Amino acid sequence: MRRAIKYLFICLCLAPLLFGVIYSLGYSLGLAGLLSDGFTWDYWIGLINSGNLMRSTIYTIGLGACSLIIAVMAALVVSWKSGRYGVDHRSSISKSKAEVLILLPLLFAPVTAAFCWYQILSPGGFIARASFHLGLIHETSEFPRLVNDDLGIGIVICHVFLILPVFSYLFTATAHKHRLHRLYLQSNTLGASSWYFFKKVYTPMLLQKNMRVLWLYLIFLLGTYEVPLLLGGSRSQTFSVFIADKLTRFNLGDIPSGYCMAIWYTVLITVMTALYLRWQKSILW
Amino acid sequence: MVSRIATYIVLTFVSLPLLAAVCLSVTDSWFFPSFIGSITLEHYKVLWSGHELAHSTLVSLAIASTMSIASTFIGAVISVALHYGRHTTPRLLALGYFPYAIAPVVLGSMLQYYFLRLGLFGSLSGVLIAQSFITIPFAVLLFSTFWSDNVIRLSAQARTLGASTSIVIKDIIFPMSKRWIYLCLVQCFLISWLEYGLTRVIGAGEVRTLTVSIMSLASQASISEAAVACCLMLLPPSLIFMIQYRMVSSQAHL
Repeated sequence: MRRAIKYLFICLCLAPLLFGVIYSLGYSLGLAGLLSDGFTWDYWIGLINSGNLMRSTIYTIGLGACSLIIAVMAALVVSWKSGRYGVDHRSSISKSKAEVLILLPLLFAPVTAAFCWYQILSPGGFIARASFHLGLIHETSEFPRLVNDDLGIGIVICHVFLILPVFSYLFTATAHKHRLHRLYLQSNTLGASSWYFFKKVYTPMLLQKNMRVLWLYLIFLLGTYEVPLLLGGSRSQTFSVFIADKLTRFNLGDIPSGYCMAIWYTVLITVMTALYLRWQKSILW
Repeated sequence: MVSRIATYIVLTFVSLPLLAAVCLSVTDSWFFPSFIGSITLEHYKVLWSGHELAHSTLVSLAIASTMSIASTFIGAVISVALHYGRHTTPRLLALGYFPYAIAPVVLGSMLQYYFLRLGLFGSLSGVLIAQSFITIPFAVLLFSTFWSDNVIRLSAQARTLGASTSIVIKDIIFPMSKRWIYLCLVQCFLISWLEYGLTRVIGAGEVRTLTVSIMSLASQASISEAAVACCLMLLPPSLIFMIQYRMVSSQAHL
């Protein structure tokens, strides 16, 4: 019985992924699907030559890294503020209204957040209207493109919004757990300024303790779908948007390249997850 | 002074989307330079007369509750099978990260052929099965943090004193794991409630959950209705958050 459940768990974890990869591999090599006429590397070569593979990889990783870096920097400041370093001598986490308010993004689904940010940042959105009333712009076309742009500014803003509360909570809790406040008082006594402590102790320590979580979030950010779907530009697409676009539109000629990309993405994520597990000293090998 | 301004900037940043959603859901005819259009509650009133969004909300609620209860139960059974009576963490657990790490929409896209073949494509049961690929491993991972040394030793002691396995599970493990069960129910509910990509691909637009509705309303430029849907989306997580906050702060007062 127990053994059976154990195998059930293995199947549940691996079977969907494995079946997905097998079919995708078959399709991308011309062995499965409606268009299949024997083994070929054409689809892979086509995808690489079209530059889509490289572009999506760089674009997705770039977006993920940018979002992560900005969110981490903001969260460091927020946790520093909420730890009240240099204000008074309390070491416990108190829950003021501001600290509850900062958790607000946790209530948002990525779809909801993307929709709301679109209405705020688009050329006809709230910020554009506010700047119109302030006399900064005179028509919508003068407003800088923040959504559906090629740089993905809107996407980064929305990602930062979504992950900021997680990291600020995480950093606050880690700082509390490792009693950084006491360390702060000590370094203050020895003559270090607040900024020096923040730069030389607080930031390195929190980053080092939470490196694995940051890595895990980078993995999640590589799979982001709803946000770039609504806020992204037309020229570069993230992995998920590219794959879903090619595989669900039923344009038969595009399907193999979608499957190639899906394989490439899955391999990348699997390697990154395996590295994470190894890093965690958890057992995989 | 500077830090005060920074605080206000951050607080504005996190509350802007909520303000936008609420504003848009109560306005009509939102044309360019006017900041807020004419205010109306019409979009909420139509929900009571069997509007499509009311239907989507019920579908979403039904899927999320089913997923939450089913995954917690299955996850708990698997967790007991993997951990009960052992001190070492099984290596197998690492496998649970893989379905969770990959983007649901990619998983769904790769698997849609099989769902088509099995006749589950575009059906409610297909969406439920597809979502369980993510929620069940998650539940197992979450429950794995429950099996502390304390729990294992306590159940071993009870066994030594003559308790049967079923009694140990019923009277020791179940009461001790109540917090984990609650957490797992909530988390699985939220995963399913917030999910879009997998539902969209496997549901093929036939299973209209709230997230799917928001996306299609947004692309049809029915902004007010999409905003109402956003506000509806925010309700269950807010309720859960409020209950949890009450619980934590009441514990702190004791």
